[in-house]
Amino acid sequence: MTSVRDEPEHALVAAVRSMWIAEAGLGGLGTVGGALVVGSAIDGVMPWLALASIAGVLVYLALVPRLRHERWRWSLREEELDLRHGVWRVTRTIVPITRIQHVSVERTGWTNFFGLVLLHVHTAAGKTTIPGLERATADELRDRILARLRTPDDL
Amino acid sequence: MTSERPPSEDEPPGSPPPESPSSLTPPQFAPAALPDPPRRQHAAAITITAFGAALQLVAGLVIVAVLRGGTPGTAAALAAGGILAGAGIGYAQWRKTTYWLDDVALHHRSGVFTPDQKVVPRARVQSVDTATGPLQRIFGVVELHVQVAGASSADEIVLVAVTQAEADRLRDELGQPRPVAPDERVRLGVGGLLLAALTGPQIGVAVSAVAGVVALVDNAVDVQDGEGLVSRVDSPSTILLVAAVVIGGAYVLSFLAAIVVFAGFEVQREGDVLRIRRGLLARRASSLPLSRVDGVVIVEGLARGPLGLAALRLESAAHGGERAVARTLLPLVRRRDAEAIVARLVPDLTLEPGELQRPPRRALRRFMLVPALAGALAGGLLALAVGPSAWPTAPALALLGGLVGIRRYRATGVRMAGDVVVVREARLARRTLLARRHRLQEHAVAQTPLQARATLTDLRVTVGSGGRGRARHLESAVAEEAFAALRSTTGGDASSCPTFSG
Repeated sequence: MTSVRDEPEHALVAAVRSMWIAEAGLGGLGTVGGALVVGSAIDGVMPWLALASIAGVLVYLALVPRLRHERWRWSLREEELDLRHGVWRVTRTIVPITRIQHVSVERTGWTNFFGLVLLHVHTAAGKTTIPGLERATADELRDRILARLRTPDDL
Repeated sequence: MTSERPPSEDEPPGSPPPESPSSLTPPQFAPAALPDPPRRQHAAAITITAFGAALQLVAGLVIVAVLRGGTPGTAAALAAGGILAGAGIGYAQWRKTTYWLDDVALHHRSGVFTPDQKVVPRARVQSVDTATGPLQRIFGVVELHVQVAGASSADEIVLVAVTQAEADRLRDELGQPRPVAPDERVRLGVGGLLLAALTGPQIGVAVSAVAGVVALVDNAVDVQDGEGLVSRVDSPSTILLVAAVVIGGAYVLSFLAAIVVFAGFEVQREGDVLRIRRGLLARRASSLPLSRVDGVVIVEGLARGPLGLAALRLESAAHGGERAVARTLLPLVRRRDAEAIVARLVPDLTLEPGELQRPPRRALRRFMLVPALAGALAGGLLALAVGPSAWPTAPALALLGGLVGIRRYRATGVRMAGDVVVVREARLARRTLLARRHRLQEHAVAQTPLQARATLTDLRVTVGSGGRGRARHLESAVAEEAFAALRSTTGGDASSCPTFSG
């Protein structure tokens, strides 16, 4: 009845791309800074190491957040949460709704700035996150999942 | 020694001795209608506790004596002292341990210097288990565990020696059924225990033990000749020797630890509950409803695999994050019997006959490539660090990586067998996960562009403890078929799940 091919339908909000670019940019500053420190300690590698690290960070910024956003899809179906994500290795994950123990919506100053929230779905095995939803979507999703949660003490 | 009653003058207030029950009332809200005076355990508890305490004391004292260069005479004297002290501890603990029932709760008071009182409301008693270790067998008594719903094992009440009649009385009083004959029982014999300890190092225990010994040696040496040891450890051969001694010592300690932890291992199924008992010095008893078992992993460790041996480990949300020891269903089985034993103990994991679906031949080089590259890289870095003379390590490690890849390729497989999904893979050990399909926490397929070109796909399932089974580089059609089959069982149809009512 179902196959891998009937992919989940909903994309993340576009703003999550900006958030990922900003996060990766901050990480990239750290990387370049580290490269400068290492480069100044070892003779003769300085210009190359700095240039390479800057080029690497720029390529990453240009490609990864966009691909990641393009790939992310989610669907809440009758019996399952259906997710697809991954830049290089594309993973398709099914979380049965009966296994979900609780749902939380994460909103911080940082995510507010980009006008989005994170939805965490907890099972006995750990946490699964949908990383970029509008707040209204997330609340609705949470309520729909909670409505279908049944006996919570059946782990 | 085991039969006399102690004098009663220094009793703690509120726990009168058993020989004067009618003259005193129990300390707290015990109604007159249910007079149950505080009782002591059977006097065999003195010997049983003393034995365990003496064993630990003697071992510690003798090791210290030997390290400090003591003569056999001092060691023997210390050992005798340890035995005496153990006997004293056994007696004192027996004297100070009392228990009594009132209409609300079971009370338990223990502690030689600082009283420790546990009160278990009757309604919270989950089970009353009895176990019979070798020492209990000698005295004709049983060890009794009162398990408490939702409490850690430290909160349960343990009486090391009571008569069978007293155990039955407590069971009846607490409304727990007398034990029925188990439907299935598997024991680990002495030979199995030794083999399990020899082949399955308890690495975590060994590491902490080595750290302890190093600290001890450090102390002992420091006291005797200052910095002598450190200044002598300089030539490579000395370092090798020290390493060999430490590793050998770790192995011996892990062997002993495994004996202590797994001695008398016994697992039985009574109706729909699994009961596991184990341990030499402290008997541990645990029970788990079968409905909470998500799966079982057959672990063929590096030492056990070639011998055709394996261990069985439980996967259950109740065990998330617990140490491997606590999750052991059986420390040692013959590999070819493993599935049959699992089926006896956990009938829901009975497999229909069938074959694993294996990755295709063209996946082999994908299994080999990454470990071989990692080996080559590690060898290259080593050569850079040590010098050009170390260059042969690069091809050697690359070859080793390739062999690891072949092993992984040969181990990998997946199979749907009724309500059970089987995923076999090799990490360090070869692991076969048998999981109940409708209790999977999630399942996934994954594919890289390179795999897509070769129509290969990874399949992953996750069980309640967070444990995973992953089969890499399966034929895409096989992985997708399994993915779809799991979807139709895990998501839908919760009403047919027998555990659904809780």
